[in-house]
Amino acid sequence: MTEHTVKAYGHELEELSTKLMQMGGLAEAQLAAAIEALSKRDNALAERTVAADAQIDDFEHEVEDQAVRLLALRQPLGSDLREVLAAIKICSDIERIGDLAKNLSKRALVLNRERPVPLTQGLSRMGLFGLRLLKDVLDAYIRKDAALALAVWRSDEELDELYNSLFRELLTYMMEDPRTIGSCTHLLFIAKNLERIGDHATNIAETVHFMVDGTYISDQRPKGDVTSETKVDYTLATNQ
Amino acid sequence: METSEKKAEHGSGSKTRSFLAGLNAQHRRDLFVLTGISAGLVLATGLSGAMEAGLSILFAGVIIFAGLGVGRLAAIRTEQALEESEPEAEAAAPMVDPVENARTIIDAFPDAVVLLDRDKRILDANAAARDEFVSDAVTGKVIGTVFRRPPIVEAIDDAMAHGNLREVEFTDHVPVERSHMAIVCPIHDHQENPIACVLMLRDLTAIKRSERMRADFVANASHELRTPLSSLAGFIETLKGHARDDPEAQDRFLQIMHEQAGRMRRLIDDLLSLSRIELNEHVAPSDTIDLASVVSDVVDAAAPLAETTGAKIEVETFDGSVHAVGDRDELIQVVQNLVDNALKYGATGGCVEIEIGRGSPAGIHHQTEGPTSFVVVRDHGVGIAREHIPRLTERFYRIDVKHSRESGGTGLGLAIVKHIVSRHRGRLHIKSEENEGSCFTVILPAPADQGLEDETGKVIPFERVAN
Repeated sequence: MTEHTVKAYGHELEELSTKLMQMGGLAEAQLAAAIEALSKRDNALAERTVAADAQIDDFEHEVEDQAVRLLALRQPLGSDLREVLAAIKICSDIERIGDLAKNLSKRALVLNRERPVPLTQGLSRMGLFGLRLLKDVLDAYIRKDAALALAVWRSDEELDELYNSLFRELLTYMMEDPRTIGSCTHLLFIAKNLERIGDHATNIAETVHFMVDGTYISDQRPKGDVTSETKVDYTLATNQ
Repeated sequence: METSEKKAEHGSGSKTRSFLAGLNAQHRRDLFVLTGISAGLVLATGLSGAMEAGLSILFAGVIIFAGLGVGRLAAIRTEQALEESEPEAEAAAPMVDPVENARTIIDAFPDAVVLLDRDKRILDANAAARDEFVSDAVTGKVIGTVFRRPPIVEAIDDAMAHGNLREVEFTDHVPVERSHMAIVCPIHDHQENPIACVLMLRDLTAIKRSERMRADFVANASHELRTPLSSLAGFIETLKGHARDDPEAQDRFLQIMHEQAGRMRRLIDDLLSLSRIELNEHVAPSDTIDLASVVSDVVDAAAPLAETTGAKIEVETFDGSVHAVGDRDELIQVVQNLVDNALKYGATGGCVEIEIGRGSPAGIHHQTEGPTSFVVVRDHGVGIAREHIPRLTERFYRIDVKHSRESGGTGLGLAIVKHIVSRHRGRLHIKSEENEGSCFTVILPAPADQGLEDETGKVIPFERVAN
């Protein structure tokens, strides 16, 4: 970072990114906890995760307030302006990730009342992949590493593929045994939530790239989620 | 530094003293406590590697506390020692910057250590920390932005605000699952205010893993014991109930109960002998024993079992004595377990071959410093698929659970063999082809005077003695 003539200004900018990363750290912890609550059927952990989401919301307000104050009082230009704008965008993405993690935990609470479904293992793998994207993209932000951001942006496709195969698997599962429809529907939503978390990580990656380089990622955005067009043939599935 | 230059002529003793005198009391204690913790942890890790799963966790705890205790004690002693010389030392040495001192100290640590300033910025990180947690690119950043684990950020805040030493355990899930203990230790200035802070990260992954292994073992063992126990309980119920007046059923049930009780006894015997062997595993036996007599004892004992399966046991002896340095009872157990397996898994009516000799058998290259002897147990039965071989000596690992239970196996036989052989500083080779048979070779250290000559006075090489 270049030195600012007004020292307090540089300090305020740094405080903004510190707060944002603290918020990101909370989201990481929340997502990890939600995945664990799901795979280990841990109700207490799920409840704690649901309750802790409020903290992320508080952070969002703080970051926004701080960013707005910076804009109003310092009228930043160039890279500073991009940094403030990035903070505003990223914090809303992180807040959404927090919400999704909370939703995962809520569904874990419901699933834990039912018989264990074998597919939750596949979901926790998917969750860990999402967690990794989130970690990498936050690291890219703090290190101002556009290449890492680009790598995250590209690997979201893998998460989409995991989601596609899980989607088909769950559909087949429900056709085979209608008693599992209740649990499997929740699992479908969980998978969708994890896929959404990957999308938010991709958004953050785009923002980070813009913040560092001042340019938008020019490639075509990889779009791997094809479930909106997926159809599983009933007879085919039941005969498998 | 000015201090050290001034003091250099007074020799190293007074240099240390002036260094210590430069630190205030609290800071000194912190350093010692830190050293104590780390010494404890180093010891604990060493021990836990050597010991089996369960106990190590407990020991780690105890030793960390002992480490803390030693650290504190050392701190108090040094203070006492310093008090005597303090007036002089204090007058001569100007104050040393505690943060600068900490910088040099953390570089010497094998664990990841990060030094933070008053604003929780990364001042310095030692090599281990740079490798794993904080790259060079982030020096000067606030720790919470790089090392984003909320409980640790909170512990650091607490340490800086109130000067508390904090320990936090945390687990990372990505990219691979790893557990660490974070120790946050504040550094105080001369007025006892926290001015910096040391974050030390100790890898607990291996300890956690062995903890899980222990849990698995306990679960397996209880499961193995519960199965025969519930069958016993069931038959007792029946005998008390509607089989009360049916002598024929009673006989049948009592026979089954007898078998089940036998299975439990075998399992408990095996568990006990396993733990006994493990207890002595670090002490190599020193007696010289005759392997031929070990083998003939086993063959006599295995005769009834061989008769029921219709198998033949052939012993191929070496002309000349074959000795090994070992514990006779334990080696009998080794050969017995191998022969039992060969009889159970060799095809019915087949032939089990036992061979003993000096050196190592053909086809096995065994690098040793001294003379060796070997025992080979070979069968021509079903054999073992390649993928099972590396896991054969794991406790309760069975290829065919049903067959193993039916033939009275406990799932511990080869685990016992492995531990005995390892206590003898020997080696176990397993070679097998499916449907061809298996060949288990145990190579044991022989007494120093063996292998030099045979009975005819001819010199025999260590490597191989012809059949």
